[in-house]
Order: sequence, then structure tokens, then C-alpha cells
Amino acid sequence: MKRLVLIAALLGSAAGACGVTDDRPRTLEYITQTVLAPTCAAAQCYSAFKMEVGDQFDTVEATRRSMVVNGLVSTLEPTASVLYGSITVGYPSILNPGSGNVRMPFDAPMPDADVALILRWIEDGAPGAQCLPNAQGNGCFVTGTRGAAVYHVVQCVDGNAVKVIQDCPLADPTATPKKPQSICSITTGNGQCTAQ
Amino acid sequence: MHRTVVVVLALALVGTASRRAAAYPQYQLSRDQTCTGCHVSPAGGGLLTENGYSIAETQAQLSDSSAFMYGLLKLPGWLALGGDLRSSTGYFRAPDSGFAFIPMQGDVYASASARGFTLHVTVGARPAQWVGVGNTPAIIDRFWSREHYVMWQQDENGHDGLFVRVGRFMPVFGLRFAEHPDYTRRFGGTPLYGETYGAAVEYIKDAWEAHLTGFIADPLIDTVVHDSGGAGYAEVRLNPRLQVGGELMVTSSDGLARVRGGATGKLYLPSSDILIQAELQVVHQQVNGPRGPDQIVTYTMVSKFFTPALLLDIGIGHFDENVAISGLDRDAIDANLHFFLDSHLEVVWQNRVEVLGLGQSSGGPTGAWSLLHLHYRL
Repeated sequence: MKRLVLIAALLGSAAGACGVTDDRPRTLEYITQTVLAPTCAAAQCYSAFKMEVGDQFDTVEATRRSMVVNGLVSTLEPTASVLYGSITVGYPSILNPGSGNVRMPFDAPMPDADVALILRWIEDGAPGAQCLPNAQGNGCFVTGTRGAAVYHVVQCVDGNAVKVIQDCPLADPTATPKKPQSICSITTGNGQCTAQ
Repeated sequence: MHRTVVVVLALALVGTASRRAAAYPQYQLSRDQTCTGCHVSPAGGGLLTENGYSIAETQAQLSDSSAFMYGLLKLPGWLALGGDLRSSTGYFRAPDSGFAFIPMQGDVYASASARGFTLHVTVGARPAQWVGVGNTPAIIDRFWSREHYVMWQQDENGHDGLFVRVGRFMPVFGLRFAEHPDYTRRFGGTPLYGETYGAAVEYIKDAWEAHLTGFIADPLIDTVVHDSGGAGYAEVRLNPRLQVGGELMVTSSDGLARVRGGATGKLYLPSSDILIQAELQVVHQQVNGPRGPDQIVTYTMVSKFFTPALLLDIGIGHFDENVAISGLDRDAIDANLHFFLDSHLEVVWQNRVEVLGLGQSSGGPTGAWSLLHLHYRL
């Protein structure tokens, strides 16, 4: 009987982890290396090897590039982020639009705690994936709310907007909904606001 | 005639996407003592030795020649050719349900040997890198060489002794299950397409073997694993039916340092023709500094040989991605039934149920699959 109790205790400790408080760092580095890379960057998915639909999550730099260039994160409305939607409700496949919603990961479920960590990171402002610096170290950054986004040319360090260089003005700030009339264009040089 | 048709069809399928070829560690101890007893490579997998061909013949429902292309193509003694074609079709749930056809592998192997030196090359199809909606990858981007290495072996006509390899191959680590979704493969440092450039020193005897590999992140192509580091694996056969092993892998990449340590065990019960094997890894990680999750990865497989042609594997996997936080562990139970129609054609019915946060208040959705896997060996 004692053996059974011991075995049950060991199995219980193996099945259930020790802690309950999720105090993991909400950084792009941590989320990439411990969640996205092992879960999403499998060979035939979002690794450098395959780069399915243009996204790559196996290195921090590649994840930052995918997040910013492909617009996977919306800090204005975190739950509307493509990244969050992909792992909670899914979207129609780019490769097969008629297939209905496809939730990621496709091959194995993702723990709720990892989904929550990603959402909290986006709610924190997606540090590390706020902007993608060009050769001059400048990038684009968006603030405001959904429907009233304001674009900025910023100094971008490690994917974070550290200093606003130029605000891209709204042509009609009183319009409802407030749509941006100019957006940031930052492929080269110091960046500029471009009429939309 | 039917063999010729099968071979032609098989060759036509080589254009499909590729996955890693692997041996069945279920046969070690149950059919031979070492991987090199049946395979040319000291890591196992891929090309077979004469003994491997003999065992392939005995482990099939229909008796025919197990040689390359049924022996229709005679090869000189210094040259070995082979290949593997695999596909998988069936149901996925993770947690949304779907039906999938997966072209898994289309690889051809060539190995030329002289005076103890061997040049091995694997060429096959690969999933092309994304080139954008509406664009078509170039033909050249659909093929690659997953493995290519030069090997020297101490006993050029034997299957044991000292081996030295330099080139592109998978570091030898752990039990090396064929199924890459098994947790000790997927999360255990040797995932699908985890091959990279390195050098290995390996010593193999019937009673024990040791493998030491140093490797670097692939400098030539975009790949799956970006680690540089070293891996060591050794196993001791306490008797012909029981072996234990130890493993250690140290890697670094992109701000992530990782140490994997673990143990393996394998026990064959001849009276019931059952093989039990297990692997346990403890993983310590550091992400940009001292902070990082410690992990546990385990996989246990019980294999029952019902008839020479029928093999059932029951596997149980446990992966805790962060031992300090509840709800982040996953458990899987696999049931794979292999049927070897002849010495070249295998049908596998693969099934998995995967549960997150088992027995805890939080976890996540349940996943599952049921797949029919076809495997043809050239």
C-alpha cells in the first residue's frame, strides 16, 4: 500500500508542476525561445527552413521581423492581433482559403498559459516587436486606439520605440472613426510620413 | 512484374517532400545488439547491412528479396544504394479537426566505401521555403542533401570498433526513435531535420558503445536548428537483454544556452517478445541571462512483436516546458501498429491522444490524430 501511495505521489508530482504563479518574463526573447520556437517553428512550419506564409519564429530577430512586417501584433487592440487570433480562433488558410478557420499550432495543442502569456506581452505593448529598425536605426511605431491609430517615426532600439522623431499627423482628427491620413514609411533613411 | 511496377511507382514518388529516415530502435536487443548490426551508419537508420537485409526478410509477411530494388539492380561490393519513401494520411485534432495528407519523405542514399573510408550522401525532396502567395519555388529549391559525410572505420569489414565521421548528420543522442513527434525527439534536441555540420567520434562494441559529437549551426542553408555545441551518448549492455545509457548535450544559439542531461534504458523480454525502452531528459535553459525554464522530457515505449510481420508500439510521453509553472506540461499516449507486407513495404496505423495539464485545474485543449502511414524502402 505504501508503495502505491509513493507511486501515486511521484506520478502526481510528475503530472502537475510545482508552482502556480506565472511570473515568466514578458519579453520577445523569452517568448520566442521558450514558446514560439519549440511550439511553432517545427521543420515544416515557421522555421527558417520552411517559413510558412512568410513567418519565422525560430530566432528573436526573425520573430521581430515577422511580427512587424507581417503585422501580427496589434497593441491597439491586443485580442484582435493576428498572432493571438491564430492560436485562439484561427483564420482561413492563406494556402487554402476555402478550408475554414485553421487554428495554430496545427499539429499539437498549445497550453492556455502560453496563450495567456502571449496576450499579456501584447497588452504590455509588445516590447521587442514594436518596430523594425532600418539601417539608420529608425522605425515605425503606432499608438492610439483601434480606429484612431497614430503613426510615428521613431528611433528603434532592439525592437522598442525609444524616441519619437516625427508624428504622422491626422488630416482630420475629428473624423469618426478617426482613420490615419498618413502612415509611416521607413524602408530607408530617416523615415517619413506618407499620405495614404 | 509487380515488383518492377512497385519500384517504378516508388521512384516516381521521390519528388515528394522529405522527412528524416530513421531506424527502429525496437529491434535493438530484440533482434540484434547494436544499430550497426543492421545499418551502415553507426547512428542507425538509412542503409542496411547484409545482416539488416536478412532481418528485413524475416520480419515480413511475404518472402522476397530485401536487397535494393529487390535485387533487380546488381551493385558492386563497394557501393550501397537505398532509399525511403513515406506518406501519411488521416485525421488531426489540435483542437480543431481536419484531414491531412502529408508527403513525408523521398530520400535516396548512396554510400561508397574503400579501405575503411566511406562517403555517404543522402539526396531527397524537401519542403521549399515560402516564396509568397502565387509564386512557385524553383525546382532546385525542392531538393537538398540532408546528410553527407565522410566516415572512417577501424574495422572496414566489421560493424564495430572505432568510427570517425565528418560532415552533415544528426548528432547521436538518446534512443533515436523513428517517429519524430515522440517527445524525446520533438522536444529532446533531435527534432525533424535537426541534422547539421559536425564531427563525431564513436566506439561501438557488443557490450557497450559511446558517441561524441561536436556540431555547429549550419552555415550554408536556413535550417530548423540553429544550435552549436556538443552531444555525448553512451550505453552499456549489462547482458544481452538489458542496457542502460546516459546522455549530455550542451548547446547555445541566439541568446539561449541549454544543457540536456538524461538516461535511457532498454529491456527485452524474450519469453513474450516484448521490448521496453525509456528515455528521460532534464533540461536547463538560460534565455539572455540566468533566467530560464527547466524542463522534463520523457518517452517510454513498449513494443510487442505479435508475428514477424506485426509490431505494436504503445508509447507514453511527458513534456513539461517549465517545471516551475503548472499547466504547461503535456502528456501523450501513442499506439502505432506496424505491418510489414514484405521486406520493402510497411503500413503503420499511428494514433495519438495528447492532453495538457493532466490532473490540474488549467491546461488546454486536447489533441489527437489517427494516421495511415505508408513506407516503402527501395
